[in-house]
Amino acid sequence: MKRILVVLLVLALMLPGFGMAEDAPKAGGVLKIASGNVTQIGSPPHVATYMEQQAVSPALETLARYGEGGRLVPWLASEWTLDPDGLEMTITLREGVKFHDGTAFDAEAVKWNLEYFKASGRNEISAVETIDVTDATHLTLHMSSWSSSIDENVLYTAGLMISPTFAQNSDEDTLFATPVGTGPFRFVRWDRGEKLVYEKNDEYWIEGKPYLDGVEMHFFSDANTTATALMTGVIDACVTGDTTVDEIMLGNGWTPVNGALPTSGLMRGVFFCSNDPEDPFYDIRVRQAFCYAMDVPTIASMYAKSGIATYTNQWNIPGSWAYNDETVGYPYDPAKAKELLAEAGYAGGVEINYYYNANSTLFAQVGQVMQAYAAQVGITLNLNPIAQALQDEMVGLNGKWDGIMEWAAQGKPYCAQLYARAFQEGGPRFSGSSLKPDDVLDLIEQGITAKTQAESEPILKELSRKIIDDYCLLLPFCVGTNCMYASRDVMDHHLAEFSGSQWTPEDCWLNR
Amino acid sequence: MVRYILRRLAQSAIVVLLVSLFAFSLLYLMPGDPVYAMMGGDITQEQYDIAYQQLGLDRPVIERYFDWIGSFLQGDFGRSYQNRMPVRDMIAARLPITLYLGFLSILISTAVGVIFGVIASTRRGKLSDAIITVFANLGAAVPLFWLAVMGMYVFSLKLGLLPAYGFSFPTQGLEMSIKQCILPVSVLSVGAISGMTRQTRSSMLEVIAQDYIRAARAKGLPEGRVVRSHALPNALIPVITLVGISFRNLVAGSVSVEKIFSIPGMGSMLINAVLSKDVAVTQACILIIAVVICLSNLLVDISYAWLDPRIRLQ
Repeated sequence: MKRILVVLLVLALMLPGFGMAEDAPKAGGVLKIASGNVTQIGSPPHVATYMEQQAVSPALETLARYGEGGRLVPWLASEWTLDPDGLEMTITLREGVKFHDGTAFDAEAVKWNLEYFKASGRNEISAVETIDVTDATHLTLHMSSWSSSIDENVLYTAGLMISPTFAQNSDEDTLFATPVGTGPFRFVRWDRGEKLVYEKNDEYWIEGKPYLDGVEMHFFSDANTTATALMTGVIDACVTGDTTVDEIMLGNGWTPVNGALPTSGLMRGVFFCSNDPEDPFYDIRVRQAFCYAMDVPTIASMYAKSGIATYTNQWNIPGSWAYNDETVGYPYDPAKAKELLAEAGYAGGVEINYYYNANSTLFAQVGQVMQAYAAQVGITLNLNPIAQALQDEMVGLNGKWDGIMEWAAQGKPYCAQLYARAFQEGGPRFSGSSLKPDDVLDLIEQGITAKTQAESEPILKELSRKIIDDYCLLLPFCVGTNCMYASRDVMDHHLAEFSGSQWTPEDCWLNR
Repeated sequence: MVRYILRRLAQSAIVVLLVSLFAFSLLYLMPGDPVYAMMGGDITQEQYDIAYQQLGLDRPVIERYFDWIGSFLQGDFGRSYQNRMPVRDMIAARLPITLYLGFLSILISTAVGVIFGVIASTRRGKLSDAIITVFANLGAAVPLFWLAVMGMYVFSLKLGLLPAYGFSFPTQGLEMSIKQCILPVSVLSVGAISGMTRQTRSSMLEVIAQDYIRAARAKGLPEGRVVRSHALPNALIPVITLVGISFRNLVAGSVSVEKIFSIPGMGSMLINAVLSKDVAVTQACILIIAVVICLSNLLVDISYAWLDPRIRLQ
């Protein structure tokens, strides 16, 4: 009888939902993350790269965060209302939050931060004219014009909060090197080029959190070292975005902890010099011929070997609400490519330059593959690896190039502002050598000022299609994100789960 | 001797001046805009203009050069645009690390190289000579970066004996400091050991063939004393040149070793500065390296004269 009872008990414990509970978060431990080097960590407008955003996340928090489906969810702001007709945005702040220096996180602090962001020269919230503080937890932003992505720009892009008291009492060097925010961890020290150290904030506004005693960001400049450190357990997670690291980790059987994001990603492809009458690509037939000559899905698969990459035929995220399924693009068709080249007067062939970042072996390999495809249709593609600084100069303000330039840019559904940067006169990136068709510019303007997602959706879809099918201004390969890796005992980090630059240091714990 | 030293100092000053002109002008002739290098490509015209002024790029080149060289002589090496801090502070943080590793490497490579060279020369034609010579040639042929990666693969990843990266001084924890230094110092030393071994062996063979060595043996002196007291001091003179040459690597560090083992030294700082066009850091590093090389060459020449009376009399 006893034996039967024991057997029954064991069987009961094996039933799902009965018996052993899942591990509860454990307190303690220091999380060590491998990151690429960062150059400044204390001034939010200058936190430019996703790595820098991840590096400051233990100490600095945003007004809102990305959640399921890429939607903004409240964080330091508990709620907000949008009034497109009245050109107003009202924000309600969470109560009981303090900065690490003990000063209160309130509406005046938010106002200071937003004004500081705007004064830095960043243009994401340039439409914010005035900010009225109603009381300690309420403020209203008055716009000069409306943008359908104003909430994202204010609450996330410009929404990283630092202590105004600390900022106003510090010189610039100290400010840029010391993140004083509301986050679950306090800044301890920054050994430049080596590591960034945080310790637990015992007065964090979420009771019972954080679980970790500290977080350290370790900076590596060599992919082998990064991979070895992770595989030997010296480092717990890796967010470098180095494709060589990806090759090593994927080759050793590791799986990234993140996947493709439906709401943002890094676009890859090539950008044509389309506004120079002396350049062969001034003729749309030559641009289209080049596109037809490339087997883009095959090229996209090369990016997938060292990262997360999804083929796309337009500058937008497949599956997102702004992705236009009716965009035809240019399926692989070498015969069509030759025909178009002959029509354009290049039946005997044409020679063009391809510029790409010399730091990446992947780009060099992609260039060689493109070279082979191009040769099949009579295009001689000269490969020109260039330094990052030179590439920035060629694609930046007033910069120019000839032929084609390796292209990398952010992709997201609200793409109008991204397109503006590339196609509007004086745009900061790729605009110097790009054609600027009037109808494209009109659509960009309409997309930026659309009041709601429903209003902007047909505009952005038409814009995505027109840039590719009507004008062939660039050839996208894929959209993806950098791989991130973590040991199995690092729990609830949410690295790049909803956004490439976002993770949850307050939830993270070590199951050791 | 004093006149010789003064003449050499004057020559060194001219060399350093020429290097400063070269360093200053080279960076402005290289492709790539320093503003973009500092701020990245994604900036507005307003941000570009502000940075352009802050970098002093709106002033004439000659004016910038004399400002820079004058400040350098006063110990002000300018500001790092990338890191937003005085270059002097960056160098002060990284130079001790590079010097520490460099000195360790020089000590080990000199001691080991000389010992192996003596063994090989005194056992010429025997198995030990063959083994030492083969390893010396291998050490000279193997690339440092390959050795570093292989060392990390074997000792860190596979055997788990040594850390893959990092640096700490002995005062920050002796055991960890030693473990962290083993791989980078070993890699740095391999090439130098090879050179020292081969040079010592060659010099010893030359000296051992001299008449005074034969005379010492004929007097009945023990072989060990013949080698230690009569052969080795004379054979070491060319070796001192190699040690002097090694000093120039003290400051530059080994870029590949520091990069692979993520050691925050001068070498990695220099290569990062070059890649990101951090003008002030690059200029300061080049000039400091030039000064160290000139001084080390001068010290070698002076020590030559001190060690070898024949040179002094000449």
